[in-house]
Amino acid sequence: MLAFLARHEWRLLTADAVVRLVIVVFGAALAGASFLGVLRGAREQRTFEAFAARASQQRAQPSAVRADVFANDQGVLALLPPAPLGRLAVGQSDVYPSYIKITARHLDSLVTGDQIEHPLAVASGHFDAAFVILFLYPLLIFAVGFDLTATERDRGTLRMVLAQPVALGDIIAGKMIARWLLLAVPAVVIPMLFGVGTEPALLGVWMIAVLAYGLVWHGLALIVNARGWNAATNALVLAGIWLLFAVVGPATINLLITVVYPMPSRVEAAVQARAATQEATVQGSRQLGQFLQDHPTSANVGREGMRQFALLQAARDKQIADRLRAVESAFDVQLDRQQRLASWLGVLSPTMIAQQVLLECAGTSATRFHHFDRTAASFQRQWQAYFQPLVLDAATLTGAEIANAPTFTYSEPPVSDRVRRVVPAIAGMMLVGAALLFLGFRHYRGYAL
Amino acid sequence: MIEAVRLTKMFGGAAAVDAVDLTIKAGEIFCLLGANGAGKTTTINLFLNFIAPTAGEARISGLNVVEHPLETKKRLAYIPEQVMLYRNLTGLENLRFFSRLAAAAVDDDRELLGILSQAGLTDAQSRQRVSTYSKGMRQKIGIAITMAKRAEALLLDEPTSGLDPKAANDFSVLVTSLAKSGVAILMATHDLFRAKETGHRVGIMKHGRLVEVIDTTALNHTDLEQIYLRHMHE
Repeated sequence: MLAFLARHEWRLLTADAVVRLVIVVFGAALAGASFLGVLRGAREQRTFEAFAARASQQRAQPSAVRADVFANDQGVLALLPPAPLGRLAVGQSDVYPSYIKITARHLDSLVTGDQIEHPLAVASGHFDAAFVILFLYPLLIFAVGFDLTATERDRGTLRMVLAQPVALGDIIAGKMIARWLLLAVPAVVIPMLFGVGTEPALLGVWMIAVLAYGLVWHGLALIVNARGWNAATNALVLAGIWLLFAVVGPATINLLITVVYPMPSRVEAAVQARAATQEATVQGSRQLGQFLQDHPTSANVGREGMRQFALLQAARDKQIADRLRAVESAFDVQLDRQQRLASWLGVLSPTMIAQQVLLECAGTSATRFHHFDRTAASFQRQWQAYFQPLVLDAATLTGAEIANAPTFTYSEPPVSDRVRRVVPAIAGMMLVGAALLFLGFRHYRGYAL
Repeated sequence: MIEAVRLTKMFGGAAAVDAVDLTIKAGEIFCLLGANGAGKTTTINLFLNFIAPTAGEARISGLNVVEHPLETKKRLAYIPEQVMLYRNLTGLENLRFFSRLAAAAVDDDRELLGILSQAGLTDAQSRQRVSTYSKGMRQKIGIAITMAKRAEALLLDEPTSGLDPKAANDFSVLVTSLAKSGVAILMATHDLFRAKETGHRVGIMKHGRLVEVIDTTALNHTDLEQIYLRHMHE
């Protein structure tokens, strides 16, 4: 009976021109966003490969390069490969750098890790599959679900139906199944088609997360319908719920977070960082002047002189690194506090929860970039440990020394770790969705005809 | 058979249906007359189990509608004042849906078209979308649903209200033929003429109570009108 009722409802829905339009818009938006994601992914891959090629060329250069030139002036780029599923969600990849210049002095991300995205794009967000799922999907669930029974009741069709040997619960279940299928199928299948051949396990988790997210919104629609209001009131209430949970709620939470834990000014930080660099440069120039005064001709500099100069430079570099670290740590501390508060307050909005899950699956969450940062910092220590003695010795590098230098390879955290991180959120959404559906069906028992 | 045993429905402190006793046998048409708010529709809603009785029982073919809601709905059909169907489906598609919902024996399109033809709709009309139908055509679909379902009881709630005289007469003919096939029929109506012409018995309801039951063969239209008005003026 349930299958029959769902088929009947499907037929009614697909016979409705507005519903057909809704589905076309949803499908086109998802396909368009996913296609743009594929193009973006290919562009990121090309950029990554170009940087990687440049790095290998650098290594292949002839020997007889001064150690400080190779280790500090040229340095090496730590590159984060594009996440294969990143095509479905831009996430934090427009905020965090996916390359960090490594030198034997320090991590150079704050000063030279420049913002390559257009600021407007960063502010308004990208049009990607995650955006369509997070914002458009719930809106369309409400668009096809605001009038589950209200018009049929008001026109009298529901009385005709319920005069037959069928329970109201079955009628409602049939309507819900049809509406769920109508939107869940494109929501799952279209991004899946564009994500095939990437990371099957994470793609599977993405799909389950989308279904769980949809369940929450379907549950909300059911509860509002069960109140017995007319269709216009249902639409108004559901639009309000969407605004609250998907737009106003997350914006308020973000505002609250920035009020409670304000971030130091990034401009101020950059100014401080540049000031530190500049002061050190001035100091370095004075040291160089003094050095040249002490060694008026190049003939009397000698290897020992160069070593002394390298020591002076190292002391200056340490000063810069310390000052930069102080500026960066002010950011890191606040960012950490903000993220902890966000993870607590985020449970108030299904959109924020789902966003975290989808970005985690796509590999564009802050977690991956932090992991990349830590890996790059660890590599920087290796690079420094390898080159600093050579720099202080004012050495000229041999081919073997260049070949034996540490190389950066980013190894992704195990997929199981990422899955483990999102399972509680998905389970939570499923539980909330199931509870809302249960309450909705219960409220429908007292539905007045 | 349609039966009410001390059937009562209270809304707040007021009785909408007050201890009504009624038995309508197979093949009988019982017309329920009464002013607006007399309790006619509430009585029908009680038989449909859309609302629960405060006391007493409503039975269809001997089964209590509250205890056996699905079983009794298999046996009864309902035609309201406005038969509201799915506008985007054709008459045939609507009949197919309601027949399957009722688990009716008739399922084949040819048989369904035959039933629609008996109800007065041509094949071409049956294949039109219901959004193009007149009220009379929609009422005929209601009759067709009853026939396809092979209902033992039929509840009609002011079915001829708003129909032109010819359409109302056509409808009455169909209802009479259903009764002849053994269906017990309860029809709430304001139409005294139709009640006298179609019904075997007429019951007058006032303030939820069945104040008088009259055999229609024993009196003419004028007598019925006088009895009805006397009750309304009391």
